[in-house]
Amino acid sequence: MAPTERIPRLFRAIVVLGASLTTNCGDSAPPPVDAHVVADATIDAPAPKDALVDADLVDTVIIL
Amino acid sequence: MIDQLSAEQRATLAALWEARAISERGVATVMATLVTQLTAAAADAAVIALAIRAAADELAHAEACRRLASAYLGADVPTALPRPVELTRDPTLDDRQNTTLHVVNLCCIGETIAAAFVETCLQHCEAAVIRGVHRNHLADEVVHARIGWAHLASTAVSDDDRGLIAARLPNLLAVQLAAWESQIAKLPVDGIAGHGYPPRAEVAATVAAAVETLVIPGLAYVGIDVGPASAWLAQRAT
Repeated sequence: MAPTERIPRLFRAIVVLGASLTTNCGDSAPPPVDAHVVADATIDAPAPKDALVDADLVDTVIIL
Repeated sequence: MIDQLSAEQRATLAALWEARAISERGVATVMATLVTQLTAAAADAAVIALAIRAAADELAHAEACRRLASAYLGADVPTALPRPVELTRDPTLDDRQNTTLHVVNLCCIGETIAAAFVETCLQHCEAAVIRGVHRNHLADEVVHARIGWAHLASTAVSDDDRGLIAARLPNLLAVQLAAWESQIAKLPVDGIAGHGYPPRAEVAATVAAAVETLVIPGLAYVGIDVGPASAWLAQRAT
């Protein structure tokens, strides 16, 4: 995967998902929690053990 | 795969991984300190939970690094004591403000750069065991970096705090980049192909790209004025 593809994925995995842990996104719903999400699709990762995954994010991330 | 290395390369890799083991133990100490500080500062519970996990992760990293050093050396590398680490405290600021700056420094900058660094190293791994170490390390670095972004997005950080962060960012970046450059200077110039060590220039480019494309945009994303930091980086580049 080229750096131009990796960087946006890292940004989403680190910054966007990190910030979402404490942000209510404008309503009273709890923030999405995904404690084991990582961006790099080149990683041949094992199945998640206990991740709670926001289904909307699954298409862009790989879960460790 | 290790058998194909020269004795010099094995010694180099053993020394690099032993140094990383010592560094990871030091970071574990720092993360444990951060847990105490975040708790005292009434940080969001999700942030504190991540920091608690991070302290344990760093100890696990240290052990993984020590085992890898032993494999390269062909002999058991003992567990070393970390160098004493103390978080710098600005006496003109209160404890909560100091904690916020520590989080920005360690997590938003340091761990975010570290995630990009490990990801680049991962691209240079061939053997499954070495890929596994880097893969686990990358997953953990991403979570550790999130401590910072989660904290800055939380209600525990005020508008005044955001102004303070914006003003201090050039200094924080200067310290972090100097530390990374110092470490990069210790790496093999040409890297060690297949063993997770890219050429030195590629590591330096990764760190610069991480600041430009992750740290600065990330800080802007959570509402920090990155004007002073961007100006400092532009001046540094000339």
